Amino acid sequence: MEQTKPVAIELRNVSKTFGSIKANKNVNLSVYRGEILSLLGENGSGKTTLMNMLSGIYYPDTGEIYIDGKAVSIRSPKDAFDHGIGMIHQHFKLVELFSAVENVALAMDAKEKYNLKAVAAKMQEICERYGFDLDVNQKVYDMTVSQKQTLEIVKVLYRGAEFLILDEPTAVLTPQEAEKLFQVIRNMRADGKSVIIITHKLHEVLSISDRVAILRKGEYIGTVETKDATELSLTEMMVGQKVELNIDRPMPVNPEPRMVIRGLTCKNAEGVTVLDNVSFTVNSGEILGIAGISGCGQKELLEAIAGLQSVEPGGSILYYTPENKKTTELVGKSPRKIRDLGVALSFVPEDRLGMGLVGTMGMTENMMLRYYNEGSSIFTDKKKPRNLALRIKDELEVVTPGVDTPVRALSGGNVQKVLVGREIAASPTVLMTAYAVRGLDINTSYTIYRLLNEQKQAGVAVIYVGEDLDVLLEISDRILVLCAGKMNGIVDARTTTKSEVGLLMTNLNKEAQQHE
Amino acid sequence: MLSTILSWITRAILFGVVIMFGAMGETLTEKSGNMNLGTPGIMCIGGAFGFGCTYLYEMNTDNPNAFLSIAIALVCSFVVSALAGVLFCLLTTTLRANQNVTGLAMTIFGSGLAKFFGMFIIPSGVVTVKAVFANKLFTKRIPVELGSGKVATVIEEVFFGHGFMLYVAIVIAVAMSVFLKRTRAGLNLRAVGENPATADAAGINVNKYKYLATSVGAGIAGLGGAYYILDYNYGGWSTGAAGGIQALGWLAVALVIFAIWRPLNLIWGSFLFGLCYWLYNYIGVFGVRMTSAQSALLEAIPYLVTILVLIISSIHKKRENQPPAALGLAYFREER
Amino acid sequence: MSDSNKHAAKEPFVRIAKNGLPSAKRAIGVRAASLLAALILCSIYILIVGRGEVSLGNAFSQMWNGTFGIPGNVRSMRIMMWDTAVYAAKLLCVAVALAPAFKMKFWNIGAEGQIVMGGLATAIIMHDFGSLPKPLMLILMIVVCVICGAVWGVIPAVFKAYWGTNETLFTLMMNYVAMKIMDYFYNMWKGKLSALPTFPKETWLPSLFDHSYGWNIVIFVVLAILMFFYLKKTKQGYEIAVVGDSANTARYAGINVRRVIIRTMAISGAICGLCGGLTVAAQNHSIAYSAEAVHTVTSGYGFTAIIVAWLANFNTLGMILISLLIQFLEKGTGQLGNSFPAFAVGAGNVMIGIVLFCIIGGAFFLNYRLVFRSKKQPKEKVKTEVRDTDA
Repeated sequence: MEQTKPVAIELRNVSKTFGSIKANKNVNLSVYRGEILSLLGENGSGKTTLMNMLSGIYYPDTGEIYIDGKAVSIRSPKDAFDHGIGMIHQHFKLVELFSAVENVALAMDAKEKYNLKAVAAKMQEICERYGFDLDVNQKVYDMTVSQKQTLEIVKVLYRGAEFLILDEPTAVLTPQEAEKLFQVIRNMRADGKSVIIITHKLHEVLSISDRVAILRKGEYIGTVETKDATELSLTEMMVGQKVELNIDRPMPVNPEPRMVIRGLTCKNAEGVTVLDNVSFTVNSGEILGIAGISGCGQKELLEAIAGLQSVEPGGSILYYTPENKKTTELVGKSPRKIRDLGVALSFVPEDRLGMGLVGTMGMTENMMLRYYNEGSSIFTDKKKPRNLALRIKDELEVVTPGVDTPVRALSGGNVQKVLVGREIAASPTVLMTAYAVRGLDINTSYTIYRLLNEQKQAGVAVIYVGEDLDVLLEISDRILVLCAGKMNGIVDARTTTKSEVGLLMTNLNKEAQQHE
Repeated sequence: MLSTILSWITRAILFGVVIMFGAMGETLTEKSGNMNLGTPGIMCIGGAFGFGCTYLYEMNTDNPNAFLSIAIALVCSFVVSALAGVLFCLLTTTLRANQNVTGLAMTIFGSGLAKFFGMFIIPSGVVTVKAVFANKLFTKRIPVELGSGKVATVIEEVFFGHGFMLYVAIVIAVAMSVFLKRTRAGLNLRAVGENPATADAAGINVNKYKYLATSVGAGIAGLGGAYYILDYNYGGWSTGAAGGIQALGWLAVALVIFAIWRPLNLIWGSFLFGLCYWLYNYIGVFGVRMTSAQSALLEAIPYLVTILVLIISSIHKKRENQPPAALGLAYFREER
Repeated sequence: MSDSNKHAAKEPFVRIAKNGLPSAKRAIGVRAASLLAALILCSIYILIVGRGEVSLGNAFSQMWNGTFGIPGNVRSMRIMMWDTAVYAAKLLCVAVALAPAFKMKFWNIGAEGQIVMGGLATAIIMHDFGSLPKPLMLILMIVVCVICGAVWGVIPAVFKAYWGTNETLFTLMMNYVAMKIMDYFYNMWKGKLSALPTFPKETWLPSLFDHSYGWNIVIFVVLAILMFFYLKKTKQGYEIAVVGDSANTARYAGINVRRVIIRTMAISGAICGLCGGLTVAAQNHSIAYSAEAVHTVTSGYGFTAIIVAWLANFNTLGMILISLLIQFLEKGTGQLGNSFPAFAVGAGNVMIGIVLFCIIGGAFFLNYRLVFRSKKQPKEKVKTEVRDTDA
């Protein structure tokens, strides 16, 4: 039946490169009229970049886009709209202070008469047609994330979009809200619109879409009919064959508990639970990998340990001092307090220049971030950090004009070397890293792996939050899988398979689902 | 007693009109996300050029035309002030300079230019000159006769006992409120001040709105300066008058905050500030005796009230009462 | 980023690209070009205003004489240079006071009020406690002006730290409250007199180098040097720099951001207060009505110093140069006005404005450059590489 639907959008050999990173390589993709297409792939597989080329945010380096058989050139979001393409980004583009109807009016065609009542009426009509639940006079700041998303969709439909692209629409929704969204999407399909959903949640793919297109590492893998697909077949297509990276993995020597985490629950600023009752132990001499779709509580987990994120009552983070096994409770303590208690904790945060380093300062002064407060003198001691900076520059081969050049002027790889070098130089007992190789070239990545392994062999307990499953499988001793803030299991990295971890990442396991 | 109160109100209204113009201009400017601390200087410029041009006109014409005299004053004042707004926007929007620094430099420049221009056009050796003809036009009351009763007198004095600029100011305030709330351009302007990235994504020309709002805002503020000289200051220009305008300019900036960025609040807010300002002269109405020294403390009231409004709105966090979210921040698309 | 791609296909005639870090050579070049542009504009202004009767050489030599004295005339040079020095030192002191707040990205535009409160506090001691033993009184004078300035700075800081109250507007309003309080005392002390007489000589700060304000110059300059080291070398200075760059990084490093904000504003306000106190005790020996143009406690430097601190990019040496430049313009144009009536009023501020606009506008070319169509931009690539990890 699907074959009879006409092809509406066609991408031919589309490529896009950012610097040295190939985001999309010769991608071919067709979208039919009146279908729901899932675009499936891991983080960094190029889904969003590809769709941004349809919505006019990026322009392809090579390749063509056809709409209804005619070659088109989409240079701006406005061009995209003129072709009936509307994209709902993960970060909503709404004016918080405005009401729903005002936000829609903002995107109105300048030739239309300005009449908020008429806009509201037309919005109502759209809401009724597709079953949206939206108060057109509500202010955006009063809206839940789900309502904001609804508003974004109505905004796009208001402008007459025929093709809707939704970038991970359910990432921010509760299951009930997601189900409501799916119903609306089905209504849109019935109305002859085409909907493309970017996602990596398999059960959603299976329940909503007609076809699934899979991207992996920027390349187009293939499209399958949803009715012929299973979670397993899709996972295999998505993660692909295991790639041998040849990262060393020495066996842990005398692992002992260094940190015991029990019942950790965290809420974000909006009061939504982002980390739900997580318990695990971190051992010395091993690398504990943490896998999960991004935004599943990884950030909050690490920040809670570092004392930067408040923890709901009942949670506990016990730190074991290596020498005497004395335990220290970290929950409820500030980063300064944790350090003053002698807890040797190092943390390489995800946001390198926004949290780990001071962009406007040179290497020397960034080394001081950890040590500046030592000693009783009111003056800072620059000699020690300067020597440390010079040492790190030499040992890690940091490319910089000098240790006083502001680090924001360095390339991403060198910035990370500075940060990791500093955190390792603090001789930690526990070393936490978040996306330590994101955006880095191969050589720097291997430098980082080597450094982490050296730490592990020195008896440090290493926590490695990562997104590349191949790396996680090769570098970790154990892998903890987070899914939507819940712990979905800890697996032995030496015996598990890529698809097992992939399934744990995308699916809450039975037990957890029953728990819900 | 009644006449004292009436005189108090009249003076307060007169005073209020000056800062209402300044505050209306600054409100429009701030709605675009630009905080122009050069407003006091721009009001000086508006005063000097509005006065200067109409003064030159009436000095060099045997039978000055009433309409021309007013038009010359208002147009010159508006245009030159608007040009100062363009300069501010050029530096902050196109050249991305810091708004506070540019604004303060503008105030130094503006007060200097006003004093210089004022002196440049008047005969040497004279301290104060008057634009007598223009002053008559600006202070001309609306000829309304309501009889001789007490109520009639009150209505006459309070509502009609003023020059035409009061009504112009009120009309502009109402129009600005309608513009911001009810028109597409107003909606777009507010979006620019709240979230320029979103406005940009919606296809709004952010820079165009910033330039227009800032220059028109500066022009409106400049009219306040012209009004100060030609009505409030009895048509007289002196170097000291420029200082007076500048002091009131800062009060206008305060009034914007007090009115929580709403043009309609400016109307009563400006009169309230006027009442506060003149309170020292009329405090006897309340049976309070005050030394002239203590009156200085009364003059601090508008600023204290403004601070209070600022504190309360920041603690309350009611979204509608906050400054435009992007106020003071430069916007570059590249950094999206 | 999206932009550069978009424009690759349909590039406008000129567009703006971000520069890397400006090299020292470029920085000097841009500054020099800005000053040259200012010089040209000021020259045009002088020629127009002078209606051809004032030659440029004459005008600039008058300005020089007004600032540094007539070359060769020792007496004139001595008088002028001392006068220039005390005002430049005062402007420098206020700019130095603002530097830590600005470095923390806290917009303290309340220096004017903090100076006034310091000056007023000292004046109260001079007026009412003149009978105390002199050493005790001097100490008291200094202590109260520092405290009052600090308090005036801390009030907005507390609200900023706890509730995020807009500090620009708050500190701005605090200025006028301070001035009105000073007016109250001024009027009270003045009574029916036409002007407030100077305080008794016994209460003045002792002279130094034969000038009653000698100590001011010394103290202001010492403060500038101390602040240089405070920001560069101390732990607190380091904390300020971290908070100014990113509050998140500060939290990560275990810095108590609220405490740093409040402490820094206390320091900023305290120095402003000291500046006001010393101005009253050693230079003005009196206070003035806020609306008066001359002999005010602040000389309007609370505002001018904001521009000085910002333009110097918190560099103390730069502040000295810009303070001197502003003094040259202020005193120079004053002299110009004395010699040529056309420049008597306002011309100074116009020229200061022209120079400031040139420097402010010129700063753009430190961080950005214009890229004209049909030129290759090899540098662009480097930027994308670093930036696009999120793609």
